[in-house]
Amino acid sequence: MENAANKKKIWALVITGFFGMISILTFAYNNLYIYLSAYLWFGFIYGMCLQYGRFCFASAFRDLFAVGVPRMVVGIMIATLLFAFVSSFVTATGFSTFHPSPSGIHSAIAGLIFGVGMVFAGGCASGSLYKTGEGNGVAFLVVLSISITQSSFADIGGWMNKLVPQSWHESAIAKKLPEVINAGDGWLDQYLAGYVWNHPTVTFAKMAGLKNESLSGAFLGNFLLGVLLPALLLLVVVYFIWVRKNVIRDMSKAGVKSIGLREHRTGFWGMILSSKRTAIAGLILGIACGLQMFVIEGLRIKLGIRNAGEILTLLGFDSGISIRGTVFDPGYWYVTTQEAQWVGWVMHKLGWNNMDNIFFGYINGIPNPALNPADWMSLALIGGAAVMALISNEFKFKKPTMELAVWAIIGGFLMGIGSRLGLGCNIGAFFVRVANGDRGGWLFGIGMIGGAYIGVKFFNWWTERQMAKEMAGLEL
Amino acid sequence: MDRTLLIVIILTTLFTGFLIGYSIPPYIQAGVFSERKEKGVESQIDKKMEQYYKDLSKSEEKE
Repeated sequence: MENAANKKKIWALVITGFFGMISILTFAYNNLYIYLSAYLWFGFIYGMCLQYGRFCFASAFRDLFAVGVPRMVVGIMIATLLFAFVSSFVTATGFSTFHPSPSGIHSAIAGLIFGVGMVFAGGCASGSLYKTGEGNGVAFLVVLSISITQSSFADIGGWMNKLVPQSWHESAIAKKLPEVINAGDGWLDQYLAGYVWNHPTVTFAKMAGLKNESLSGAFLGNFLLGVLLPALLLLVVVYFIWVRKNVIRDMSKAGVKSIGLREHRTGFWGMILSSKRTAIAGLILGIACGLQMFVIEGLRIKLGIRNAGEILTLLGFDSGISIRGTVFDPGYWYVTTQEAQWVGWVMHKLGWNNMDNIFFGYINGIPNPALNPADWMSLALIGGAAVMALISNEFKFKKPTMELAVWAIIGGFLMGIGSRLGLGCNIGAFFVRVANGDRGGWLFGIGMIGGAYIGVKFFNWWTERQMAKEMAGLEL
Repeated sequence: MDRTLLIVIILTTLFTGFLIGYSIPPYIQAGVFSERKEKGVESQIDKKMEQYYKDLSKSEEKE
Protein backbone atom coordinates (compact mmCIF):
# COMPACT_ATOMS: atom_id res chain seq x y z
CA MET A 1 0.00 0.00 0.00
CA GLU A 2 2.75 2.40 1.07
CA ASN A 3 4.81 1.32 -1.93
CA ALA A 4 1.98 2.24 -4.31
CA ALA A 5 1.62 5.65 -2.65
CA ASN A 6 5.37 6.27 -2.99
CA LYS A 7 5.22 5.31 -6.66
CA LYS A 8 2.47 7.87 -7.18
CA LYS A 9 4.61 10.54 -5.52
CA ILE A 10 7.47 9.72 -7.87
CA TRP A 11 5.08 10.10 -10.79
CA ALA A 12 4.04 13.49 -9.44
CA LEU A 13 7.69 14.59 -9.50
CA VAL A 14 8.15 13.13 -12.99
CA ILE A 15 5.21 15.17 -14.33
CA THR A 16 6.45 18.36 -12.67
CA GLY A 17 9.96 17.69 -13.95
CA PHE A 18 8.61 17.09 -17.45
CA PHE A 19 6.94 20.51 -17.54
CA GLY A 20 10.10 22.06 -16.10
CA MET A 21 12.25 20.46 -18.78
CA ILE A 22 9.89 21.68 -21.52
CA SER A 23 10.18 25.24 -20.21
CA ILE A 24 13.97 25.15 -19.89
CA LEU A 25 14.70 23.43 -23.21
CA THR A 26 12.30 25.53 -25.27
CA PHE A 27 13.60 28.74 -23.68
CA ALA A 28 17.18 27.68 -24.40
CA TYR A 29 16.20 27.00 -28.03
CA ASN A 30 14.38 30.32 -28.49
CA ASN A 31 13.44 32.86 -25.83
CA LEU A 32 10.06 33.45 -27.52
CA TYR A 33 8.91 30.15 -26.04
CA ILE A 34 8.79 31.83 -22.64
CA TYR A 35 5.39 33.16 -23.70
CA LEU A 36 4.05 29.62 -24.01
CA SER A 37 5.72 28.64 -20.74
CA ALA A 38 3.84 31.45 -18.97
CA TYR A 39 0.58 29.82 -20.04
CA LEU A 40 1.95 26.43 -19.00
CA TRP A 41 2.89 27.34 -15.41
CA PHE A 42 -0.29 29.24 -14.66
CA GLY A 43 -2.27 26.32 -16.08
CA PHE A 44 -0.29 24.02 -13.76
CA ILE A 45 -1.19 26.19 -10.75
CA TYR A 46 -4.87 26.23 -11.77
CA GLY A 47 -4.86 22.43 -11.99
CA MET A 48 -3.30 22.06 -8.55
CA CYS A 49 -5.76 24.51 -6.99
CA LEU A 50 -8.83 23.02 -8.69
CA GLN A 51 -7.96 19.52 -7.50
CA TYR A 52 -7.07 20.64 -3.98
CA GLY A 53 -10.27 22.66 -3.54
CA ARG A 54 -12.51 20.25 -5.53
CA PHE A 55 -13.35 23.43 -7.38
CA CYS A 56 -16.25 22.54 -9.66
CA PHE A 57 -19.19 24.78 -10.54
CA ALA A 58 -21.44 21.79 -11.27
CA SER A 59 -20.74 20.25 -7.87
CA ALA A 60 -21.19 23.65 -6.23
CA PHE A 61 -24.71 24.22 -7.51
CA ARG A 62 -25.68 20.55 -7.31
CA ASP A 63 -24.64 20.48 -3.64
CA LEU A 64 -26.58 23.68 -3.00
CA PHE A 65 -29.80 22.83 -4.83
CA ALA A 66 -29.91 19.10 -4.11
CA VAL A 67 -28.69 18.89 -0.49
CA GLY A 68 -28.43 22.51 0.65
CA VAL A 69 -24.64 22.54 1.17
CA PRO A 70 -23.24 25.97 0.23
CA ARG A 71 -19.54 25.20 0.88
CA MET A 72 -18.34 25.31 -2.72
CA VAL A 73 -20.55 28.18 -3.88
CA VAL A 74 -19.01 30.25 -1.08
CA GLY A 75 -15.52 29.17 -2.16
CA ILE A 76 -16.23 30.19 -5.76
CA MET A 77 -17.45 33.60 -4.65
CA ILE A 78 -14.32 34.11 -2.51
CA ALA A 79 -12.13 33.20 -5.49
CA THR A 80 -14.06 35.60 -7.70
CA LEU A 81 -13.63 38.42 -5.18
CA LEU A 82 -9.90 37.87 -4.85
CA PHE A 83 -9.40 37.57 -8.59
CA ALA A 84 -11.44 40.75 -9.05
CA PHE A 85 -9.24 42.62 -6.60
CA VAL A 86 -6.02 41.61 -8.38
CA SER A 87 -7.61 42.27 -11.78
CA SER A 88 -8.66 45.75 -10.70
CA PHE A 89 -5.05 46.55 -9.91
CA VAL A 90 -3.92 45.29 -13.35
CA THR A 91 -6.77 47.18 -15.06
CA ALA A 92 -5.88 50.40 -13.23
CA THR A 93 -2.33 50.21 -14.60
CA GLY A 94 -3.84 50.19 -18.09
CA PHE A 95 -2.18 46.89 -18.98
CA SER A 96 -5.00 44.41 -18.54
CA THR A 97 -5.31 41.73 -21.20
CA PHE A 98 -9.06 41.52 -20.61
CA HIS A 99 -11.58 42.75 -23.19
CA PRO A 100 -15.27 42.79 -22.30
CA SER A 101 -17.55 40.91 -24.68
CA PRO A 102 -20.84 42.02 -26.21
CA SER A 103 -23.55 41.06 -23.76
CA GLY A 104 -27.31 40.77 -23.89
CA ILE A 105 -30.08 38.27 -23.32
CA HIS A 106 -28.07 35.74 -25.35
CA SER A 107 -25.52 35.60 -22.48
CA ALA A 108 -28.22 34.42 -20.06
CA ILE A 109 -29.67 31.90 -22.55
CA ALA A 110 -26.18 30.53 -23.20
CA GLY A 111 -25.59 30.25 -19.46
CA LEU A 112 -28.88 28.40 -19.03
CA ILE A 113 -27.93 25.76 -21.65
CA PHE A 114 -24.46 25.50 -20.13
CA GLY A 115 -25.86 25.13 -16.60
CA VAL A 116 -28.15 22.25 -17.56
CA GLY A 117 -25.26 20.60 -19.40
CA MET A 118 -22.79 20.81 -16.51
CA VAL A 119 -25.23 19.15 -14.10
CA PHE A 120 -25.97 16.37 -16.61
CA ALA A 121 -22.25 15.84 -17.22
CA GLY A 122 -21.42 15.88 -13.51
CA GLY A 123 -18.74 18.53 -14.01
CA CYS A 124 -18.30 22.00 -15.47
CA ALA A 125 -15.68 22.81 -18.12
CA SER A 126 -12.86 23.43 -15.64
CA GLY A 127 -14.06 20.71 -13.26
CA SER A 128 -14.00 18.12 -16.02
CA LEU A 129 -10.42 19.09 -16.87
CA TYR A 130 -9.15 18.63 -13.32
CA LYS A 131 -11.10 15.39 -12.90
CA THR A 132 -9.47 14.14 -16.12
CA GLY A 133 -6.18 14.75 -14.32
CA GLU A 134 -7.41 12.48 -11.52
CA GLY A 135 -7.84 9.67 -14.05
CA ASN A 136 -11.62 10.00 -14.32
CA GLY A 137 -12.82 8.50 -17.63
CA VAL A 138 -16.25 10.18 -17.45
CA ALA A 139 -14.63 13.61 -17.15
CA PHE A 140 -12.40 12.83 -20.14
CA LEU A 141 -15.52 11.96 -22.16
CA VAL A 142 -17.10 15.27 -21.12
CA VAL A 143 -14.02 17.17 -22.33
CA LEU A 144 -14.10 15.24 -25.61
CA SER A 145 -17.81 15.90 -26.08
CA ILE A 146 -17.43 19.66 -25.38
CA SER A 147 -14.51 19.83 -27.83
CA ILE A 148 -16.18 17.96 -30.70
CA THR A 149 -19.48 19.83 -30.27
CA GLN A 150 -17.85 23.25 -30.32
CA SER A 151 -15.58 22.48 -33.23
CA SER A 152 -18.47 21.16 -35.34
CA PHE A 153 -20.92 23.87 -34.24
CA ALA A 154 -18.46 26.58 -35.28
CA ASP A 155 -18.57 25.48 -38.91
CA ILE A 156 -22.01 23.98 -39.46
CA GLY A 157 -24.07 25.62 -42.21
CA GLY A 158 -26.31 23.88 -44.74
CA TRP A 159 -29.76 23.24 -43.26
CA MET A 160 -28.79 25.21 -40.13
CA ASN A 161 -28.67 28.35 -42.31
CA LYS A 162 -32.46 28.05 -42.64
CA LEU A 163 -32.75 28.66 -38.88
CA VAL A 164 -30.95 32.01 -39.16
CA PRO A 165 -33.23 35.09 -39.04
CA GLN A 166 -32.98 37.23 -42.19
CA SER A 167 -31.92 40.27 -40.13
CA TRP A 168 -28.89 38.37 -38.77
CA HIS A 169 -27.94 37.29 -42.29
CA GLU A 170 -28.16 40.82 -43.66
CA SER A 171 -26.29 42.30 -40.71
CA ALA A 172 -23.52 39.68 -41.05
CA ILE A 173 -23.10 40.43 -44.76
CA ALA A 174 -23.06 44.18 -44.03
CA LYS A 175 -19.99 43.69 -41.80
CA LYS A 176 -18.00 43.21 -45.03
CA LEU A 177 -15.67 40.56 -43.64
CA PRO A 178 -13.09 39.08 -46.03
CA GLU A 179 -14.63 36.87 -48.72
CA VAL A 180 -12.76 33.74 -47.58
CA ILE A 181 -14.64 33.87 -44.28
CA ASN A 182 -18.04 33.79 -45.93
CA ALA A 183 -19.93 35.39 -43.03
CA GLY A 184 -23.29 34.77 -44.71
CA ASP A 185 -22.86 31.00 -44.43
CA GLY A 186 -22.91 29.05 -41.17
CA TRP A 187 -25.22 29.42 -38.17
CA LEU A 188 -22.58 30.54 -35.68
CA ASP A 189 -21.01 32.98 -38.17
CA GLN A 190 -24.30 34.75 -38.69
CA TYR A 191 -25.11 34.62 -34.98
CA LEU A 192 -21.77 36.29 -34.17
CA ALA A 193 -21.50 38.85 -36.98
CA GLY A 194 -25.23 39.45 -37.42
CA TYR A 195 -26.40 39.43 -33.81
CA VAL A 196 -23.78 39.30 -31.02
CA TRP A 197 -21.46 41.95 -32.47
CA ASN A 198 -24.38 44.39 -32.62
CA HIS A 199 -24.55 44.35 -28.83
CA PRO A 200 -22.56 46.77 -26.67
CA THR A 201 -19.67 45.81 -24.42
CA VAL A 202 -20.56 47.06 -20.96
CA THR A 203 -18.48 47.18 -17.80
CA PHE A 204 -19.69 48.39 -14.41
CA ALA A 205 -17.14 51.20 -14.55
CA LYS A 206 -18.66 52.36 -17.83
CA MET A 207 -22.17 52.13 -16.35
CA ALA A 208 -21.06 54.35 -13.45
CA GLY A 209 -19.64 56.87 -15.90
CA LEU A 210 -16.02 56.09 -15.01
CA LYS A 211 -13.07 55.27 -17.23
CA ASN A 212 -12.29 51.56 -17.14
CA GLU A 213 -8.50 52.01 -16.99
CA SER A 214 -8.51 54.37 -14.02
CA LEU A 215 -8.14 53.74 -10.30
CA SER A 216 -11.72 54.81 -9.59
CA GLY A 217 -13.11 52.90 -12.59
CA ALA A 218 -11.27 49.69 -11.76
CA PHE A 219 -11.83 49.68 -7.99
CA LEU A 220 -15.08 51.61 -7.48
CA GLY A 221 -16.85 50.70 -10.70
CA ASN A 222 -15.69 47.21 -11.58
CA PHE A 223 -14.68 45.85 -8.17
CA LEU A 224 -17.06 47.47 -5.70
CA LEU A 225 -20.19 47.81 -7.83
CA GLY A 226 -19.52 44.93 -10.21
CA VAL A 227 -18.19 42.24 -7.91
CA LEU A 228 -18.14 42.97 -4.19
CA LEU A 229 -21.76 44.13 -3.77
CA PRO A 230 -23.37 41.48 -6.06
CA ALA A 231 -21.20 38.73 -4.51
CA LEU A 232 -22.17 39.81 -0.98
CA LEU A 233 -25.82 39.92 -2.02
CA LEU A 234 -25.54 36.41 -3.43
CA LEU A 235 -23.87 35.15 -0.24
CA VAL A 236 -26.58 36.77 1.91
CA VAL A 237 -29.27 35.10 -0.24
CA VAL A 238 -27.49 31.73 0.14
CA TYR A 239 -27.30 32.27 3.90
CA PHE A 240 -30.97 33.17 4.29
CA ILE A 241 -32.31 30.36 2.11
CA TRP A 242 -30.00 27.45 3.01
CA VAL A 243 -27.93 28.22 6.13
CA ARG A 244 -30.07 30.43 8.39
CA LYS A 245 -32.39 27.65 9.53
CA ASN A 246 -29.45 25.44 10.52
CA VAL A 247 -27.90 28.31 12.49
CA ILE A 248 -31.18 28.92 14.34
CA ARG A 249 -31.53 25.19 15.07
CA ASP A 250 -27.92 24.86 16.34
CA MET A 251 -28.13 28.00 18.49
CA SER A 252 -31.46 26.95 19.96
CA LYS A 253 -29.91 23.58 20.86
CA ALA A 254 -27.01 25.42 22.48
CA GLY A 255 -29.48 27.32 24.66
CA VAL A 256 -29.39 30.72 22.93
CA LYS A 257 -32.82 32.23 23.59
CA SER A 258 -33.06 35.21 21.25
CA ILE A 259 -31.38 35.03 17.87
CA GLY A 260 -30.67 38.48 16.48
CA LEU A 261 -28.37 40.22 14.04
CA ARG A 262 -25.26 39.41 16.08
CA GLU A 263 -25.99 35.66 15.98
CA HIS A 264 -26.71 35.79 12.26
CA ARG A 265 -23.45 37.65 11.68
CA THR A 266 -21.65 34.81 13.49
CA GLY A 267 -23.58 32.27 11.40
CA PHE A 268 -22.73 34.11 8.19
CA TRP A 269 -19.04 34.19 9.09
CA GLY A 270 -19.22 30.50 9.97
CA MET A 271 -20.61 29.80 6.50
CA ILE A 272 -17.66 31.66 4.95
CA LEU A 273 -15.13 29.75 7.09
CA SER A 274 -16.77 26.34 6.56
CA SER A 275 -15.40 26.24 3.04
CA LYS A 276 -11.77 26.45 4.21
CA ARG A 277 -10.25 24.11 1.61
CA THR A 278 -12.20 25.60 -1.30
CA ALA A 279 -11.51 29.10 0.00
CA ILE A 280 -7.74 28.47 0.18
CA ALA A 281 -7.83 27.14 -3.39
CA GLY A 282 -9.94 30.14 -4.37
CA LEU A 283 -7.50 32.52 -2.75
CA ILE A 284 -4.53 31.11 -4.69
CA LEU A 285 -6.59 30.85 -7.89
CA GLY A 286 -7.65 34.47 -7.63
CA ILE A 287 -4.10 35.71 -7.13
CA ALA A 288 -2.73 33.44 -9.88
CA CYS A 289 -5.40 34.60 -12.37
CA GLY A 290 -4.48 38.23 -11.79
CA LEU A 291 -0.77 37.48 -11.94
CA GLN A 292 -1.19 35.66 -15.25
CA MET A 293 -2.70 38.80 -16.79
CA PHE A 294 0.18 40.84 -15.39
CA VAL A 295 2.86 38.45 -16.69
CA ILE A 296 1.35 37.96 -20.15
CA GLU A 297 1.01 41.71 -20.73
CA GLY A 298 4.59 42.24 -19.49
CA LEU A 299 5.82 39.58 -21.90
CA ARG A 300 3.89 41.17 -24.76
CA ILE A 301 5.64 44.49 -24.11
CA LYS A 302 8.99 42.74 -23.71
CA LEU A 303 8.66 40.69 -26.90
CA GLY A 304 7.01 43.53 -28.84
CA ILE A 305 3.91 41.57 -29.82
CA ARG A 306 0.15 41.89 -29.42
CA ASN A 307 -0.82 38.29 -30.13
CA ALA A 308 0.83 34.87 -29.99
CA GLY A 309 0.20 34.52 -33.73
CA GLU A 310 3.20 36.82 -34.22
CA ILE A 311 5.35 34.50 -32.09
CA LEU A 312 4.32 31.45 -34.11
CA THR A 313 5.10 33.32 -37.33
CA LEU A 314 8.52 34.36 -35.99
CA LEU A 315 9.18 30.74 -35.01
CA GLY A 316 8.30 29.65 -38.56
CA PHE A 317 4.97 28.00 -37.73
CA ASP A 318 2.42 30.02 -39.67
CA SER A 319 0.07 27.14 -40.43
CA GLY A 320 -3.37 27.40 -38.81
CA ILE A 321 -3.09 31.12 -38.08
CA SER A 322 -6.22 33.20 -38.76
CA ILE A 323 -6.34 35.53 -41.74
CA ARG A 324 -5.69 38.46 -39.37
CA GLY A 325 -2.46 36.76 -38.28
CA THR A 326 -3.85 35.89 -34.86
CA VAL A 327 -4.38 32.77 -32.78
CA PHE A 328 -6.37 32.34 -29.59
CA ASP A 329 -4.35 34.21 -26.98
CA PRO A 330 -6.66 35.51 -24.25
CA GLY A 331 -3.92 36.45 -21.79
CA TYR A 332 -5.89 34.95 -18.94
CA TRP A 333 -7.54 31.70 -17.84
CA TYR A 334 -9.80 30.18 -20.46
CA VAL A 335 -10.95 26.63 -21.08
CA THR A 336 -13.31 25.88 -23.94
CA THR A 337 -11.93 27.70 -27.00
CA GLN A 338 -8.66 25.75 -26.97
CA GLU A 339 -10.68 22.54 -26.57
CA ALA A 340 -12.52 23.43 -29.80
CA GLN A 341 -9.19 24.23 -31.42
CA TRP A 342 -7.51 20.89 -30.81
CA VAL A 343 -10.42 18.97 -32.32
CA GLY A 344 -10.68 21.61 -35.08
CA TRP A 345 -7.01 21.04 -35.89
CA VAL A 346 -7.52 17.26 -36.14
CA MET A 347 -10.60 17.71 -38.31
CA HIS A 348 -8.71 20.13 -40.56
CA LYS A 349 -5.94 17.56 -40.97
CA LEU A 350 -8.58 14.97 -41.89
CA GLY A 351 -9.82 17.22 -44.68
CA TRP A 352 -12.61 19.35 -43.14
CA ASN A 353 -12.16 22.94 -44.36
CA ASN A 354 -13.06 24.71 -41.12
CA MET A 355 -10.95 27.83 -41.69
CA ASP A 356 -13.70 29.62 -43.63
CA ASN A 357 -15.66 30.61 -40.51
CA ILE A 358 -15.35 33.49 -38.06
CA PHE A 359 -14.51 31.41 -34.98
CA PHE A 360 -11.46 29.65 -36.44
CA GLY A 361 -10.60 31.47 -39.66
CA TYR A 362 -11.09 35.08 -38.58
CA ILE A 363 -10.36 35.11 -34.83
CA ASN A 364 -8.78 32.10 -33.15
CA GLY A 365 -7.06 30.05 -35.84
CA ILE A 366 -6.28 26.38 -35.40
CA PRO A 367 -2.55 26.18 -34.74
CA ASN A 368 -0.80 22.89 -34.04
CA PRO A 369 -1.82 21.95 -30.45
CA ALA A 370 1.87 21.47 -29.63
CA LEU A 371 2.38 25.22 -30.24
CA ASN A 372 -0.95 26.58 -29.10
CA PRO A 373 -0.39 28.69 -25.94
CA ALA A 374 -3.88 28.05 -24.56
CA ASP A 375 -3.44 24.31 -25.17
CA TRP A 376 -0.23 24.43 -23.13
CA MET A 377 -2.33 25.94 -20.34
CA SER A 378 -5.04 23.25 -20.48
CA LEU A 379 -2.60 20.34 -20.71
CA ALA A 380 -0.61 21.75 -17.81
CA LEU A 381 -3.88 22.17 -15.89
CA ILE A 382 -4.58 18.45 -16.32
CA GLY A 383 -0.96 17.79 -15.30
CA GLY A 384 -1.21 20.00 -12.21
CA ALA A 385 -4.41 18.25 -11.13
CA ALA A 386 -2.75 14.86 -11.71
CA VAL A 387 0.23 15.91 -9.56
CA MET A 388 -2.01 16.92 -6.66
CA ALA A 389 -4.13 13.77 -7.00
CA LEU A 390 -1.00 11.58 -7.07
CA ILE A 391 0.48 13.25 -4.00
CA SER A 392 -2.74 12.93 -2.01
CA ASN A 393 -3.19 9.34 -3.24
CA GLU A 394 -6.44 10.23 -4.99
CA PHE A 395 -5.36 9.38 -8.52
CA LYS A 396 -7.16 6.40 -10.01
CA PHE A 397 -8.12 5.43 -13.55
CA LYS A 398 -11.91 5.09 -13.56
CA LYS A 399 -13.65 3.55 -16.55
CA PRO A 400 -17.03 5.11 -17.29
CA THR A 401 -20.17 2.97 -17.13
CA MET A 402 -22.48 3.09 -20.14
CA GLU A 403 -25.08 5.20 -18.32
CA LEU A 404 -22.53 7.74 -17.11
CA ALA A 405 -20.93 7.86 -20.56
CA VAL A 406 -24.29 8.77 -22.14
CA TRP A 407 -24.85 11.55 -19.58
CA ALA A 408 -21.29 12.79 -20.11
CA ILE A 409 -21.81 13.04 -23.87
CA ILE A 410 -25.21 14.77 -23.55
CA GLY A 411 -23.91 17.16 -20.88
CA GLY A 412 -20.75 17.88 -22.86
CA PHE A 413 -22.83 18.57 -25.96
CA LEU A 414 -24.99 21.13 -24.10
CA MET A 415 -21.94 22.75 -22.53
CA GLY A 416 -20.29 22.97 -25.95
CA ILE A 417 -23.33 24.75 -27.43
CA GLY A 418 -23.65 27.02 -24.38
CA SER A 419 -19.97 27.91 -24.54
CA ARG A 420 -20.10 29.03 -28.14
CA LEU A 421 -23.32 30.98 -27.68
CA GLY A 422 -22.00 32.66 -24.53
CA LEU A 423 -18.46 33.15 -25.89
CA GLY A 424 -17.00 31.08 -23.07
CA CYS A 425 -17.71 28.64 -20.27
CA ASN A 426 -17.99 28.89 -16.48
CA ILE A 427 -14.46 30.33 -16.51
CA GLY A 428 -14.25 32.47 -19.68
CA ALA A 429 -17.85 33.67 -19.69
CA PHE A 430 -18.49 33.85 -15.94
CA PHE A 431 -15.48 33.77 -13.60
CA VAL A 432 -13.10 35.95 -15.62
CA ARG A 433 -15.79 38.32 -16.90
CA VAL A 434 -17.41 38.90 -13.53
CA ALA A 435 -14.02 39.50 -11.92
CA ASN A 436 -13.23 42.11 -14.57
CA GLY A 437 -16.48 44.02 -14.18
CA ASP A 438 -18.12 42.80 -17.40
CA ARG A 439 -21.91 42.89 -17.11
CA GLY A 440 -22.15 39.87 -19.42
CA GLY A 441 -20.45 37.71 -16.78
CA TRP A 442 -23.36 38.09 -14.36
CA LEU A 443 -25.89 37.55 -17.15
CA PHE A 444 -24.17 34.27 -18.05
CA GLY A 445 -23.98 33.43 -14.33
CA ILE A 446 -27.70 34.04 -13.74
CA GLY A 447 -28.48 31.76 -16.69
CA MET A 448 -25.99 29.16 -15.46
CA ILE A 449 -27.50 29.08 -11.95
CA GLY A 450 -30.99 28.77 -13.47
CA GLY A 451 -29.77 25.99 -15.76
CA ALA A 452 -28.13 24.17 -12.85
CA TYR A 453 -31.41 24.36 -10.91
CA ILE A 454 -33.35 22.90 -13.85
CA GLY A 455 -30.67 20.22 -14.27
CA VAL A 456 -30.82 19.22 -10.59
CA LYS A 457 -34.63 19.07 -10.61
CA PHE A 458 -34.58 16.97 -13.78
CA PHE A 459 -32.00 14.62 -12.30
CA ASN A 460 -34.03 14.17 -9.12
CA TRP A 461 -37.09 13.32 -11.22
CA TRP A 462 -35.05 10.93 -13.37
CA THR A 463 -33.49 9.15 -10.38
CA GLU A 464 -36.83 8.74 -8.64
CA ARG A 465 -38.34 7.37 -11.85
CA GLN A 466 -35.49 4.89 -12.25
CA MET A 467 -35.76 3.79 -8.62
CA ALA A 468 -39.52 3.34 -8.93
CA LYS A 469 -38.96 1.16 -11.98
CA GLU A 470 -36.37 -0.94 -10.15
CA MET A 471 -38.67 -1.32 -7.15
CA ALA A 472 -41.49 -2.36 -9.42
CA GLY A 473 -39.18 -4.94 -10.98
CA LEU A 474 -38.32 -6.36 -7.55
CA GLU A 475 -41.97 -6.65 -6.61
CA LEU A 476 -42.63 -8.71 -9.71
CA MET B 1 3.60 19.22 4.86
CA ASP B 2 4.27 16.35 2.49
CA ARG B 3 7.86 16.52 1.15
CA THR B 4 6.84 15.79 -2.45
CA LEU B 5 4.24 18.54 -2.33
CA LEU B 6 6.84 20.91 -0.93
CA ILE B 7 9.22 20.11 -3.82
CA VAL B 8 6.42 20.65 -6.36
CA ILE B 9 5.47 23.97 -4.73
CA ILE B 10 9.11 25.12 -4.71
CA LEU B 11 9.59 24.19 -8.38
CA THR B 12 6.34 25.90 -9.39
CA THR B 13 7.26 29.00 -7.39
CA LEU B 14 10.71 29.08 -9.01
CA PHE B 15 9.30 28.96 -12.53
CA THR B 16 6.45 31.42 -11.93
CA GLY B 17 8.78 33.67 -9.93
CA PHE B 18 11.14 33.77 -12.90
CA LEU B 19 8.22 34.61 -15.21
CA ILE B 20 7.06 37.43 -12.94
CA GLY B 21 10.60 38.77 -12.66
CA TYR B 22 11.03 38.54 -16.43
CA SER B 23 7.86 40.54 -17.06
CA ILE B 24 8.46 43.38 -14.57
CA PRO B 25 11.28 45.28 -16.39
CA PRO B 26 9.10 45.98 -19.46
CA TYR B 27 6.53 47.61 -17.18
CA ILE B 28 9.22 49.75 -15.55
CA GLN B 29 10.60 50.67 -18.96
CA ALA B 30 7.12 51.63 -20.10
CA GLY B 31 6.72 53.90 -17.07
CA VAL B 32 3.86 52.05 -15.40
CA PHE B 33 5.23 52.25 -11.87
CA SER B 34 6.66 55.76 -12.19
CA GLU B 35 4.79 59.04 -12.31
CA ARG B 36 5.56 59.63 -15.96
CA LYS B 37 2.33 60.34 -17.74
CA GLU B 38 3.40 59.17 -21.18
CA LYS B 39 3.78 55.46 -21.45
CA GLY B 40 5.99 53.76 -23.99
CA VAL B 41 9.44 52.32 -24.38
CA GLU B 42 12.07 55.03 -24.56
CA SER B 43 14.73 55.16 -27.25
CA GLN B 44 18.07 53.72 -26.18
CA ILE B 45 20.01 55.80 -28.73
CA ASP B 46 22.80 57.93 -27.30
CA LYS B 47 21.97 61.69 -27.32
CA LYS B 48 25.15 62.60 -29.27
CA MET B 49 24.39 59.91 -31.83
CA GLU B 50 20.81 61.19 -32.15
CA GLN B 51 22.12 64.73 -32.80
CA TYR B 52 24.61 63.35 -35.37
CA TYR B 53 21.76 61.78 -37.37
CA LYS B 54 19.68 64.97 -37.10
CA ASP B 55 22.61 67.02 -38.45
CA LEU B 56 23.13 64.49 -41.19
CA SER B 57 19.58 64.96 -42.45
CA LYS B 58 20.00 68.75 -42.28
CA SER B 59 23.09 68.64 -44.49
CA GLU B 60 21.26 66.38 -46.94
CA GLU B 61 18.43 68.94 -47.14
CA LYS B 62 20.95 71.71 -47.93
CA GLU B 63 22.42 69.67 -50.78
